[in-house]
Amino acid sequence: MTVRVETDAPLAGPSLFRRRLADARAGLRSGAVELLHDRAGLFGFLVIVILIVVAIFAPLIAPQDPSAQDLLNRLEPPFHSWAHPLGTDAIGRDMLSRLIYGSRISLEVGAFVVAIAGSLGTTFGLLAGYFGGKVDSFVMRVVDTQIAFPGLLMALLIIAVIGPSLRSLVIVLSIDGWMVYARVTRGVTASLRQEPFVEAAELIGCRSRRVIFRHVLPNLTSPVLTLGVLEFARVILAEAALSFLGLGIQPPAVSWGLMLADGADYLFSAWWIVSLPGIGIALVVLGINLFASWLRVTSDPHARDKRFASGTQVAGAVT
Amino acid sequence: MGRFALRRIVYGIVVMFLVTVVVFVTTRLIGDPSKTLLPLTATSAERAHFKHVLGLDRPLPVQFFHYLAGVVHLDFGNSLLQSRPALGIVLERLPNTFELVGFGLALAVLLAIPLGVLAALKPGSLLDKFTVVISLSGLSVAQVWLGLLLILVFAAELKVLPSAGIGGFSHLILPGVTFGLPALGRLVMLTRSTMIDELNAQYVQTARAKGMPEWRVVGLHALRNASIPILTLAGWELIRALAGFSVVVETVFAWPGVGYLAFQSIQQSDVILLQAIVTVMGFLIIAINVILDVLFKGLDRRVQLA
Repeated sequence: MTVRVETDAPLAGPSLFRRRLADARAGLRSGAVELLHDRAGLFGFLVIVILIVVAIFAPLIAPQDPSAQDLLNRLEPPFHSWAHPLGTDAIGRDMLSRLIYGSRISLEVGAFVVAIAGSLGTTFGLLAGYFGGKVDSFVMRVVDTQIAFPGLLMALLIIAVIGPSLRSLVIVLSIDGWMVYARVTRGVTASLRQEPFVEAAELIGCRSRRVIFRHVLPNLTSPVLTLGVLEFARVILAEAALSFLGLGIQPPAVSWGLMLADGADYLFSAWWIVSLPGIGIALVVLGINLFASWLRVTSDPHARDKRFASGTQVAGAVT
Repeated sequence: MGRFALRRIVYGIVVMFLVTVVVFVTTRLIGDPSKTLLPLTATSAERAHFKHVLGLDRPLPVQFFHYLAGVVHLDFGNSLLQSRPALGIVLERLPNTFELVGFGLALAVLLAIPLGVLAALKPGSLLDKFTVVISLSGLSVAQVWLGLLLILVFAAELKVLPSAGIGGFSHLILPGVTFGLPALGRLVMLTRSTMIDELNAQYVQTARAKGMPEWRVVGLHALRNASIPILTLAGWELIRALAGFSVVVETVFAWPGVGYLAFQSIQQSDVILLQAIVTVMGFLIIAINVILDVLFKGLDRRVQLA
């Protein structure tokens, strides 16, 4: 966690803005240079960029309609024809196009869940850490209680009751995920509260709102961002598991989890139907994990010290 | 210590009550069992009769009181499809889940600690890089896919291991490995990073300086201090598995445990059975949580729990 001291000196608007912009540029540039030196982090970053580009431009990239059936060429293995570079599934749908369209669902579910769970958890954690006392013990009691719940089984029960859909999936995974953010945010906020710059801001009479938004929130960016990236990986794995069980994305939508479920029926005759989406998930999750651990090490001064001391460039622990 | 244990137990009971409330609210308020269970063609008289039999036509507080009384007496009602006590069905399947989770977790812990320690001894070495790559891959794959892949290789191609069901030890290997590999990945990464921290600590330098043999420094001093976070994570992996993560593995391998039972009851819309599963597993993990908390309090004098 970097502690950034904000000055409240009355500066002229445009010059302050220009300075901020320059700061941000310099920060980005040094970050990019560091990323180029860390092969694992760079790999992760590239995987994420490729995923986003592929998901957004899916209709332009995909060679065919993901649900178009080519019944004459059913169960065609990969690398056999130019028409279907990665083969076809049991009803002749193009695997490559389905993989490309499937990435959209992963990205969509991941982005929604991280945004909802992240903003809920960060808000509650911030309130708990900043105000302390009764607010703190109430919020943390709720968090502790929910962590003691059988999370995934409860999610299955809720989905079984309200019916599976993209919306159910997002709701259930958000309910299941907000506590992590609350815990982390609360910890960081509580320790920031002891820092001289926050005390000083309070002493000169800043309102709580100003202290929270201007002094505390900017310092939360790095831990919450790192956590969000890691949680994204968790959501992708959860989507695959729930869709496989028939409780996530429903056909005719295309998702990697659904492709795994389709392929399970043809496991013994067509290995590629299961293998390709599995490799896709593994690559994306691995990339996200590597990028998140690079992000953590780079933005955390303690971790940086340790990395320089041990002289290793191997990615740190992903827990 | 005694007071701490007592407080944890009381808290555990409160959480159990909350789990019961949430399960009740989910099944009775959000969903309507008469809609999910009866065919669309059922007449309104049939629906009314069905509701009456299940007691769904009574006021909600009365329903909740009856439900709560049932839970306290460990009576969850009869499974809708098998027409026998849901609790009995769950308890029949529970040993199988324990067998799978126990084997997978034992495999993960027994392999993770030596691997993590060896990797931590020489960070950046070939062994370390190899361990990190294996662990990161292990925790990055989707468990469903890992299971299917193992079936593909060991059951379909090599024909050395059975792909589904329960039987001797050979049936346990593939689901056990599928369950254990992601846990192994997380445990190795944690063991490695904790051991690196411990080995850089001053007490380790002191021990080395006074001429203590290296195996004693690593095995006795550093590993002992690193053991608390490692055991905590192992306990968390156990809870995670019982909290529903065994559903996927059990379904892939048709392993007759509680997880596969949950999957089947969802497919058959057997709400009564499903709520019994969620409640029993919820109580179980709350109890395990309390026991682990109290145990760790005893193990580590440094833990200061409020």
